[in-house]
Amino acid sequence: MDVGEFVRLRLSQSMISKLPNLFMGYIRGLKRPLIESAFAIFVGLIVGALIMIIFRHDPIEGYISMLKGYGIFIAKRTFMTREFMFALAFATPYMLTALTFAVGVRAGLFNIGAEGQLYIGAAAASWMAAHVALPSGFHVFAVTVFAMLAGALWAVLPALLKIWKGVHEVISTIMLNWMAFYLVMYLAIYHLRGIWAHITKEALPTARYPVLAGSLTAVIFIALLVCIGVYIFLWRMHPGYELRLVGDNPDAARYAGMSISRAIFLSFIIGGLVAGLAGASLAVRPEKWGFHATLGDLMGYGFAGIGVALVGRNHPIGIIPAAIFFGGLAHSGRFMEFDIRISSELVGAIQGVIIIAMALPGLLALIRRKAK
Amino acid sequence: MDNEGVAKTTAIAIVIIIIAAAVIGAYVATRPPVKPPAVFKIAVVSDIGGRGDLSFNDMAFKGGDDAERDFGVEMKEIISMVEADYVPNLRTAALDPDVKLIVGVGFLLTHALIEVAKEFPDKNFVGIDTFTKWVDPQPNLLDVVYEEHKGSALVGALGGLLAAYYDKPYIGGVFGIEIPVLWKFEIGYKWGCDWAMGWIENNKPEMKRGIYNTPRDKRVLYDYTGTFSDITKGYLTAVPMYEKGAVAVYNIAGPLGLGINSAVKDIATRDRLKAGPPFWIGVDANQDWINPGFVIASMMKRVDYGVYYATKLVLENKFREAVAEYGNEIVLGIGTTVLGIPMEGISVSTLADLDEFIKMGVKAEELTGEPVLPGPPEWIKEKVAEMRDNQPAWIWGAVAELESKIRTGAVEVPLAVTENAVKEWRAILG
Amino acid sequence: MVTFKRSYAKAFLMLNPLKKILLRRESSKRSRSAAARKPKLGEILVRAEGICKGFPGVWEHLILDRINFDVKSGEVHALLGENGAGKTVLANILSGFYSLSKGRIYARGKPISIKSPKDALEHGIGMVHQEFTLARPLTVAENVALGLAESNFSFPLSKVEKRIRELSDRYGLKVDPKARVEELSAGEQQRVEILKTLYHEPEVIILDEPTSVLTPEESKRLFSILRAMAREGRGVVFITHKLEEVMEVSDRVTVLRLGKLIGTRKTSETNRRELVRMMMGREVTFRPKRKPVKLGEVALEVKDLHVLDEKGLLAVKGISLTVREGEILGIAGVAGNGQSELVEAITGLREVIKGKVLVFGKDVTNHSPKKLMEAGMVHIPEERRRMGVAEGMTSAENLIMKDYRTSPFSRWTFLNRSFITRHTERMVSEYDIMVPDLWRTETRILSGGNIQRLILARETWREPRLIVAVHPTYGLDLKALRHTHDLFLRLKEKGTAILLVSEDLDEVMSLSDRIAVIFEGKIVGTVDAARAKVEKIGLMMAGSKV
Repeated sequence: MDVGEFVRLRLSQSMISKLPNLFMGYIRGLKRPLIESAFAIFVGLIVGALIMIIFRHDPIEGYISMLKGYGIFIAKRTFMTREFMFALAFATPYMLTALTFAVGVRAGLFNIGAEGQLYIGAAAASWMAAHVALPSGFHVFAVTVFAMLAGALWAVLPALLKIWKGVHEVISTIMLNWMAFYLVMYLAIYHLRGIWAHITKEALPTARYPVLAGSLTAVIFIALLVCIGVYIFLWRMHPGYELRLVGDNPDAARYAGMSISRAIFLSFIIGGLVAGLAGASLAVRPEKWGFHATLGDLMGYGFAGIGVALVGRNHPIGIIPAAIFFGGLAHSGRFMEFDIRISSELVGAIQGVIIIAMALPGLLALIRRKAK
Repeated sequence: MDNEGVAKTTAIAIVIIIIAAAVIGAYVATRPPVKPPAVFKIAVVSDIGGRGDLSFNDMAFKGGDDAERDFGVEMKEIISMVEADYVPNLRTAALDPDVKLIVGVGFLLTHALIEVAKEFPDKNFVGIDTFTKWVDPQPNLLDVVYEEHKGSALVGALGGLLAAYYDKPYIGGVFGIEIPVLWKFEIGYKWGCDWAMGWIENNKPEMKRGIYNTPRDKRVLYDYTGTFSDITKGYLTAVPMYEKGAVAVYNIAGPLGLGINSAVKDIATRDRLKAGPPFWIGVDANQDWINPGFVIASMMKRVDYGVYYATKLVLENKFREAVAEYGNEIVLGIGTTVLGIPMEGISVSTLADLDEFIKMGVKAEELTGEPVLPGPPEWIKEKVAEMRDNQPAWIWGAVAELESKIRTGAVEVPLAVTENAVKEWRAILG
Repeated sequence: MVTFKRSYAKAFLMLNPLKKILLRRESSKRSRSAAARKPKLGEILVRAEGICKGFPGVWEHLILDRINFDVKSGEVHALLGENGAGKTVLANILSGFYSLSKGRIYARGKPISIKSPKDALEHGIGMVHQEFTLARPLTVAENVALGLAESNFSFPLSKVEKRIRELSDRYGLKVDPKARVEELSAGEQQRVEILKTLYHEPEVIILDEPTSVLTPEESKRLFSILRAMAREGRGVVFITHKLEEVMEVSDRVTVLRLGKLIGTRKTSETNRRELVRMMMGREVTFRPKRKPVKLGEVALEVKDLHVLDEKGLLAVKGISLTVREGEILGIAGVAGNGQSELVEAITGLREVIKGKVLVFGKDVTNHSPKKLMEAGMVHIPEERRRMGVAEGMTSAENLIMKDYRTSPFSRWTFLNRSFITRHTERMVSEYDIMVPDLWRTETRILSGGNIQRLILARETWREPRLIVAVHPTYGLDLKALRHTHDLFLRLKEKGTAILLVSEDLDEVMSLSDRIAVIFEGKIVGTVDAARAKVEKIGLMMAGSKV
């Protein structure tokens, strides 16, 4: 047998025969969620259009304006990278808070504590970035890690309450969200302030993430890495495998000799870490390199993360496009308001309809799991 | 399991969607042609709260409306829901090639304005009450600030004179959080009252009673409530002031005025009063209509003029010149001019400008679907006019005299923005 | 949490009046058909013609391929076949749980369309499922009431309870109507399922492997009930893979194999040999051969074990037993006599309140399942879907549930995918598990028999030193059953100690070296399997002293 024949044979055995199967397998696995999502977004757009017609706005113009949120059709240009980067800036914290929720769901939890953990992470990041002098290079790293640890710390309490006392995570995390809100507001006004009372002190230049465009910083790369990392953790590492098994069937996990408490704890901690990072991404970014003491810069990302996670089917990789979708949507409202004078409340309603339609398949899956 | 049921539901859903799509298609096909947009646009980006606040944001939009009417420009508006919206909202406006001027309303937009002004050097930016000058001045960014201390002095004088006339020992002031901006109001108000005592001594010796006999540093009851939102606190702070004998209480805490108003209403119900005293004094907008007969006047800060004048400057190509000439900040007040054009922004409310603000209230009613005005506009105007006529003419005369003296520079109202200045003035005036 | 779910389910019951209003039209239809003439004996009640069924994604081979089937009034019609033959699918189509892809169904000669279980009941077809469809937090009576259109706000539970007592007296199905389902054993739950269907008095009643959790005694009682029902003019469809039962109770038998109809015979005109040939495609012998094995050291020792059940009552009352290497100890007993609690206590899933569990001489009382695994014990659990697998995860992931911690399954906490793939592929082929795609298919869609094979593969491939197995062949077809028995015997020969808990007396008899009979939480006697008589063990299981 000559070499060429040998190679051909090997190829036909391994690559050529396997590749199409592998590829088709991926496509087949993806097909259903993609079709569902496409159908859902279509329904959402139709209902949104009906709302616009009822309130006497032109749906075509409305949706063109909505596309501007993604950098499309702005100022007579087909695509504006810079605008799209603004959508990405919104997407960054969404991605992370969605991950918090998704990791919770994978462990069978309904962890909605991202909001509070994000506040704590933001406060920690702001303190480390503005009030502690560290050598450049290391400073950014310290800010990131400190914010993540602070977020995780805030997740320890609901985790322990769940493990020790069986306190339902929805109740404990909601309470802790409010505690975090008032605590961080207090810290912002009295301990994190700089010259101006209404904004926290700006981050020192050594603590600033590199700016890509507008308010988009390099944190997005960290966020993407974290998404991939969580994916690898959940599907390729054995603590992640345990976590998912506990979420799918705690009885089976116990039977298999796994520690359910450890999986739940781990899920909360991972959630806290990424929510803390989301806080850092919001607290250390242009233009203020700080945040308003009213927390208006931070509010809502944690809860929006639930929607993002549902649209992304609670999958760390699915969350990435879902977050970008949400980021663009969040950015597009002002264009709709500006271009065709749709009131901001109506914009919220239209976006809400689209989001609900898109989240519905994920939500139903979640309910099915819970019902089981 | 029930496949046929599912199929039926799906079929119905698809039919509904097709019908909906057809409706939308028909609508789009028959939509009216788009009217050509105005070439010159201005954009107003509100602070949190948006339309219907009857104060800053509404006044800014009113300024835009006035500019639309007088200059033929088109105003675009964007509401900020949270602080994180400032930058993207300003940018959205700046991205429209026809927009020449972008106005940010409120000092919270300071940093956002700087950021966006840097990104769009060809566009013109104005911040109402902002302090970009102190942070990072830009050649295309103008702060518009107001001489609140002078307006406060006028209402302080009005309050002092009323207290003397009604033989009451005090006037009062309910303040928000103690930030430097509010010191301007406090010292101005106290100074105005003090000026009024001097005026009585010289011109109306028979009115040497009530507040005149109160020691100089005890005439103004004032309290920093620490909040700009807790209306109940406004009520709780105002009640003891009226009980001690304050003839009027000055609202320098935004919505807390409604709390002061409740305190006044309680007293009016108890004593079956048709009109004050007791009175309260409005701030920022003309608030005289909120409780006609009991709001003696308002210290008006014309945010609408700020937007209007800025538009005018841009239209006349004088904007950059003004920015350069005045160090990135123009001051609107009493007798102020910009590049030789008189541009004022502070006044005590008069019967004449009540109309505009009643209109604003009507608009807010339409917007929120809730009653805002306490009664029909005609009734409000009648009651306010009656109240004003019931006060002696010399009081209004004295206030007018102070205003003209301020205008000509014959008197100087102290501007206290530093801690030391405030301490000094508090030592003298309480 | 339980109370919450309970009130939730109760609220659901409250909606029944609404259902009643909505269903008025249909219930009048039902009364019309009920008022129709009584069927003559021998008249065809339900006939299925050319039934085809393919599930989404597996169109290439039909699960049912042109099946003709009919049920006559007054007969017990056995539906015989191996696992995966399509018996259950056919039954589910007749009772409205699945829709058919092709074919027609006639009731008393008229074509009908069955869209839901409710439709099927209206046409007089009721089904008792093999896997339970009960609301676990509710009581027996509430579960029965849940399916009734006539229950209302006042909720006539007492009426339902009375009726249940009547039915259970009539058929000898001993169940407390006030007991909560979650507290019942598998056997008791099966009885509730039967009662639930009987409550509707269907003309045709389909029972899917009803005897799998019943004692021989109870099975006999059930058969007489089936006969009684047939005498009343009902048609009884009896799904099974046990030949003996077919021969004992049925009038006719239809055999399916791999979705195809093999044939229908009158039971009196056929014999075991022919049926086995039809079912398996060849003849098989039943009794596994056993070689004598030298016993090794004591693998499992249980001393004076006391364990509580869910209700806090003593379920295991001082059980002591030992299993040596190379020995199979069978535990025979009627479901609900403390077997579940005994096994859970031994395997570390339930607290031992008194007594000791020793594995290879080491005290492991109240140790975690992980510790017990490390001590060399594996556990084949009773409720395989609830505990044995995580249904939402893939087959490969389920196959490594016990091994993932160790190298080479994982290294540095990273799962070794290529090794796992190789390993699971080997498992799948060795244990004959039918899995479409190891890394994609959710375990949920596997059949019960396949899941059981998966669990067996996972637990036994390492040839463990001690196996605690509960109903290891429950739901397996003859071939797989024989494989499993061979497997157990082979392991035994290699020195594995096996504690076998089963309600299938045949299985216990044919595998065990010794048989301990459990009754009301106590071992009432241990006998040598070689010399044991079925009657004697049956009597012991029923509680009579020997």
